[in-house]
Amino acid sequence: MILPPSFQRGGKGRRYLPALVVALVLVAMVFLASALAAGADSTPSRFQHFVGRLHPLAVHLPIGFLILAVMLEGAALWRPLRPLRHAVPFVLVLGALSAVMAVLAGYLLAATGGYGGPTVLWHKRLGISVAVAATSAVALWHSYRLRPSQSLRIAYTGSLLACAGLLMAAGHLGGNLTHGPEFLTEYMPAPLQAAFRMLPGGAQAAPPLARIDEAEIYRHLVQPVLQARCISCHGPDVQKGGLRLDSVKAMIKGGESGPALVRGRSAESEMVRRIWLPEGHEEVMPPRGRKLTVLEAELIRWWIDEGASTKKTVGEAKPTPSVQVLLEQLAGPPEQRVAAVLRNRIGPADSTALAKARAGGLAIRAIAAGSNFLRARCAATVKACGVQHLRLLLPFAQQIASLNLADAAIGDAELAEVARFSNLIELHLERTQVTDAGMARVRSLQNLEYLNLHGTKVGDAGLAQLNALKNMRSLFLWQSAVTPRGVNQLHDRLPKLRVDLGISPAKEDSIRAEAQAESVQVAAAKKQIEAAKKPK
Amino acid sequence: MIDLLQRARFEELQLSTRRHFLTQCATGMGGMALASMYGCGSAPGDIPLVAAANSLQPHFPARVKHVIFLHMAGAPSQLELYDYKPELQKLNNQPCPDSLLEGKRFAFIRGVPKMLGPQAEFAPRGESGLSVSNLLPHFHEVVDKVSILKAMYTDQFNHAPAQLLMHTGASIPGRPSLGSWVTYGLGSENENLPGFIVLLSGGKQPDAGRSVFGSGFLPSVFQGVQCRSGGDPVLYVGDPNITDRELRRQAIDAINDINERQYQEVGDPETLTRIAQYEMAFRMQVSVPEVMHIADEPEWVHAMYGSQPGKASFANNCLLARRLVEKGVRFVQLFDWGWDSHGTDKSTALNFGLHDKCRETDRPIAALLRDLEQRGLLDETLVVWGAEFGRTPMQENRNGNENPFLGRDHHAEAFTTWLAGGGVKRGFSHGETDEIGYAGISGRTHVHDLQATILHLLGFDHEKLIHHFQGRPFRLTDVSGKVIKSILT
Repeated sequence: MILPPSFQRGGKGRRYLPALVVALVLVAMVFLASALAAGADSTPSRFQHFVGRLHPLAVHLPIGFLILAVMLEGAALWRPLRPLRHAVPFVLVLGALSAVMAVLAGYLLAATGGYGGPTVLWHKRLGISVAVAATSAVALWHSYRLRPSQSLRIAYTGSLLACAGLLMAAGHLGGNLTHGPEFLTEYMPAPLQAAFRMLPGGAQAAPPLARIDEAEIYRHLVQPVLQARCISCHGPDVQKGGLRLDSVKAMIKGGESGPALVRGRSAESEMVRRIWLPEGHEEVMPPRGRKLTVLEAELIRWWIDEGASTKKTVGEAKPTPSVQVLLEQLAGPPEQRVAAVLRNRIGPADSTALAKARAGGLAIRAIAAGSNFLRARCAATVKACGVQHLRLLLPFAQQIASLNLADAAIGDAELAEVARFSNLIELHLERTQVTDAGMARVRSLQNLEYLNLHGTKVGDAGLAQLNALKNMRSLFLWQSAVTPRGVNQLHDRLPKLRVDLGISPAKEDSIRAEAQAESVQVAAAKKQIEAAKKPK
Repeated sequence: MIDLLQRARFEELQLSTRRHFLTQCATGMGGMALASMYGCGSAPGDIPLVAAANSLQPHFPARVKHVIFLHMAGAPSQLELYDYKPELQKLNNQPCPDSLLEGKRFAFIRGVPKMLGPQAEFAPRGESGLSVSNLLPHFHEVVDKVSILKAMYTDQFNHAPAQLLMHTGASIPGRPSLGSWVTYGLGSENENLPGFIVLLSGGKQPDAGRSVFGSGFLPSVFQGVQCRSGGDPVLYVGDPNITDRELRRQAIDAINDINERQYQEVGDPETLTRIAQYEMAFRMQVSVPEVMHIADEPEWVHAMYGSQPGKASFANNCLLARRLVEKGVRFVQLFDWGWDSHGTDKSTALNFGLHDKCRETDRPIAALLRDLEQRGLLDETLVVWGAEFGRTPMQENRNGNENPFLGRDHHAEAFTTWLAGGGVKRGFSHGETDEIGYAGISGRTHVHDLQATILHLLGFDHEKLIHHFQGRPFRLTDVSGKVIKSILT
């Protein structure tokens, strides 16, 4: 056996050994904790730094030894491998010793500053628990050897397993601290990812960006990059160089190297300088792991040049060509950039009702293969499209995403039926008899993106009703009663909406006059050309 | 008579011996096996026979429902219209460096040509500040509606093959055209009109002839129907004076009945196409004159387009294109001949003929975009402006001699195309050519990329819109093509 001879054979020492070891460990921990609390403000010495930085290296020893101890115990359950049990104490003692060493080094590292927050706290607690559990396992094993009993055996096995479990958790959090919380989960299959998000310090998935123009540059684009690559050292948990990058205010405040960010001036912003330094440069950020990709670095530079706003959306800024490339990657394949409602699942339309509607003169087709959403309009062979056609669609109103009632005999009364098509994203009412009174019905169609009211009697009062349609992109009002003033008022509420008032009657006259003047001009020019000689 | 035929057949059978039977069986079976292996003739079941009723489904939600393709046949010079190259002006009249000529072939340039600076003035236009030539004053007002592709390239430097490549995806005739693929995929939105209509102007058909709007191996119901803006819009669309609607109906019913029996007997799907076409033609007798009758447009609309009822012109065709799309026609193809600016005579000179062509087309194109927009149609229509290729930054020296007028030769390596409409960015420019406009240096887009993008906007994955013919799957973009994602919203 590996223990000193006094403990090996006879002597009272044997009995006190376990208590002694556990007491030593606990005393050392308490002593260190208080010493560190006292010296938190003083600058750590070079030696402290040196030993502290051995922590990431030292932790791998207890990981290896303790896991091996568990595996040896496990393997020894099988009769032919039973002799392996004799190796367990040797490995276990090494594991316990190295765990204590690692904890000590960890304390020193934490004391060099820049660490704090829940992840560090839990890593510390779990790390100490590992050391305690490992020494307890040694002690229990020793007691069992002296006076074998079933309860000691169970306690020993329990502490060994607990030690392994705590080790995994502590190791995971330690990994999060060095590599960032995304490192492990980034390429994990989705169900596993979900499970991991439950743990403290776990990664949060970024929300999908269906409409890239409306994404907020900071919240949706810049912050995820910082979160993944910077926050583990410059965030709530750790503040290397006294710098936090988890809020714009903190970035402007900066750290030991001065402000990290100057609004609108990427060239003067320290963080931009650091992330653009070549790999291997001693000041490059992040110092470990992969550098930021060119696109990520471009994105941060662009955001700062655009004023480092926390509110500005992509659509409000002017992307540089390389940022454009990144935006396209983030926006996903263009075929998926569709209205949110189309991504919902919906059952198929009732086939008999569908067949009846088709027989009744409606042209209905699927919006896309595999989708139950439909486009509907009156077939061109139908002479007078009217409310009777609309009623044929009611049994599957939820499935209709696009409804074309252009030129139909539809008025305000019929819009009550139209309002039941709650999943509509596109509605054509051009050249119908609808007026202001009917717009209160249209107001309820919250998913509308396209609305055509050209050639109707709708005026400013009706237009004001539409200000609740937050998803609306395009609105057509040519030859309606709407005035530019009404449009401006709507624009104040819906800034992203594109409204087209078309060519006003006054403009029609000027077009006529202008065309006439041009034809005179052209005739004159032609004459001149005819008169001109060949150029050579 | 029938007796006679039956007797002849009987005699023939009597002459057949067992050996005849066995030989014929062997070769016959072999032939049948071969036919099934190589798929001669398509199975009738998988072809949508009637365009309007039976189309395929788009692979994903479409951004546009209609396409208006404005093809400037002959190929306008991008260097005088959209691709501003001030550096080229500095090199004006200097001999072209060897590096640009080595290993290259041109249609007419021989020996060492001289560089030719831009023959127009440029300035940033609109809110987007895209550079547009002063030859297109009306386009300045709509530049914020379009996405310009400045680094297009093609494989062909002669009109016919290049036009075929642009419209059918292959430089040899026989493939279905873009409009045919689109109507094959989506059918028509109007049951009374063909889904694919072609309008010609400039007094000449495109060099590649009708193949550029043919249906190739797709059923002929998907071919482009050429409409004329003067006289009968479709030849013989009107009934002769002695027939009325009722008589015509009876005649068509009788013909369809015969065709139906023919189909039962032979099973050729083209027979069904024929029936569908007769039906369509009958309805078209009413719908076509109606939609083509542009005289009912208000006067200011004619002023805006520069159109004149009864005249055959590009302006009339633009106005018609709007009317057709409004009626639900899926694909409207315009060809305007006269852009082949070689400089061999005045009409093809950069400083004369090109000016005329710009004047003829600038106003109607701007009017078309504005008119589509105010009717809410631009959001569901894709307007494509382009040509089969571009023109050289060198002045053409036909067969080594200086041309009498300023002109440029055909150029496959760089040309400009623009797109406007639903799903396309507004006031955006993609791709860049080098400082003299010889070749694209970034964002290069091939003709197949443009086709892939057009299909994409209509909801089709160009790699999946496939038709099997003679044992090989065919698609518009052949084996290449990438959607130009950066111009999509």
